[in-house]
Amino acid sequence: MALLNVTECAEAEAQVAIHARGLSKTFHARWPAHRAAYVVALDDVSLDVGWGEILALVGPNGAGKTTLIKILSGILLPTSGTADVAGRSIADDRGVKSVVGLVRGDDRGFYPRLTGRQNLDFFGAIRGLSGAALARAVSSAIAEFELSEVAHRSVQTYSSGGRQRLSLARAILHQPQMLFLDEPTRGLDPMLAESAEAWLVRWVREVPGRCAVLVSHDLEQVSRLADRIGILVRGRIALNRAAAELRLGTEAATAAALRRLFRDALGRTS
Amino acid sequence: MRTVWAFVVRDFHTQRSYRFALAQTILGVVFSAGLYFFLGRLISGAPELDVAGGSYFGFVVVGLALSAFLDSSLYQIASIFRSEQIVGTLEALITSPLGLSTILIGSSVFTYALAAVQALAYIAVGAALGVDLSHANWGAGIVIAVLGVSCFAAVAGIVTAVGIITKRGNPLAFIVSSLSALVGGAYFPPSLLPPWLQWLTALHPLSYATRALREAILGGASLLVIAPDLFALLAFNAVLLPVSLYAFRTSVRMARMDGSLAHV
Repeated sequence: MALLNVTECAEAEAQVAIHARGLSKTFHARWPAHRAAYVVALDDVSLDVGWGEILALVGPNGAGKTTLIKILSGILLPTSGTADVAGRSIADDRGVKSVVGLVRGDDRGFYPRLTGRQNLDFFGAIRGLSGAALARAVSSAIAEFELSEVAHRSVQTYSSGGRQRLSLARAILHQPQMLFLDEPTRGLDPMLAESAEAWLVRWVREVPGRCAVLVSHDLEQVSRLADRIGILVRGRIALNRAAAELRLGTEAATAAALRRLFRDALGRTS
Repeated sequence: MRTVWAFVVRDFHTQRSYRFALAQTILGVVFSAGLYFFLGRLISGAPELDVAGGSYFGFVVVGLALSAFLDSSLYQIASIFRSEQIVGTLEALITSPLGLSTILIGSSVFTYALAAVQALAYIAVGAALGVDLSHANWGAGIVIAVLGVSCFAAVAGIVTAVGIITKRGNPLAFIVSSLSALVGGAYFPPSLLPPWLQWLTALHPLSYATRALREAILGGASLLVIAPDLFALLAFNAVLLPVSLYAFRTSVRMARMDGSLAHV
């Protein structure tokens, strides 16, 4: 019986793609003379995300959404708290980085003098791809995000939407298990945004053992894509619910309900 | 190794996109060497220049060749990382599972390849303008260059670490660069310095590298003859390389702590 419990526990843990407990992040001024100035970006955040799920994080500007995904993807170090990402502790940041892909919330992060393809070649190579596998991954990502016509142009000539698609393409080159997407459709026209959304749902659902964390200010998009919705306000999780509990017939009605919850959460913490 | 090569390819493509950069560098070498050539006609013959057969131009060309590596270390590499920070690619690099030492080495290799081209151009222009290289011990020259450059690369890691933290303005690069010009022995023999300044020469790897390289390239000295300088360079490497990696790791950790990896 005891053995069965252990197995059940292991199975339950295997269901969880992200397991974060008590994550806090305070940004202090660097120089001792200014130590009194600080910003609490995250305050005791705990959450679980299951495999096959899309967690949408919403919240006002400065709520800590980007800070949270940067900590979970191994870029930022938390002030306190722990998290396991795909079974790897964020303290082992190289282990975490090998299984996550990150789409940044701005259109920086590429070498402007290189072409889109050269950028992808480089970022694929530093993730261990080479030869035919690298060429295949780059070509497939270029095709997936409709970059074929611009892939030979230097990135400095790209539109904001072009850079955003390049960012999506880069995030999947190494076949990550987990994607962190910070406003991934910002700057995309409605058609491209729609196809990126459809791609994300396919990406998470088609292959077992994947999940995504989406940061978005677009509540309609959140109500379309999310399996779980977390509202962050002033660094705290003010609400964390399965999206199915909020779905109200139409997308517009769901988004309106979400908007009400968002306002309530803001009111509660102010 | 494959990963380091990816950095080289990246930097090659970037360099190629600036069509006149390499030509400008080579032209810079020609003009600078020309300047010292005429200056040398004015001041040659001093006993301190015996190692170069009394020729100031022969003396300074070797110093200029090594300084090309030091200048790249002090300014180019820190500026590469500063630029990575500004365009946001440093954060993208840190998102990958690469070790920090690989990122530092990968980002430096192409810069040192360009510095080597610059150094060879100084030697070639020197030879064209009459510097006698007929006795040169090139094998010893390569050994000295490798040991010297790895010392300078360690200094580059420390300077880059300071740059990641301070962002604008790199006081360390300025201090090391000014000090190197004064006590490194690249432009004039350190024996001309007043005694109270000469002790600084002993603390600077450039002074050992320039002295040994002159003896090997201009005087044809064997590795045995220049062994004391080689051991000194090895000792500098043993101290500076770990300090450099520690400083670089600490600076990136600080940036990951305060979220400034992508700060402008």
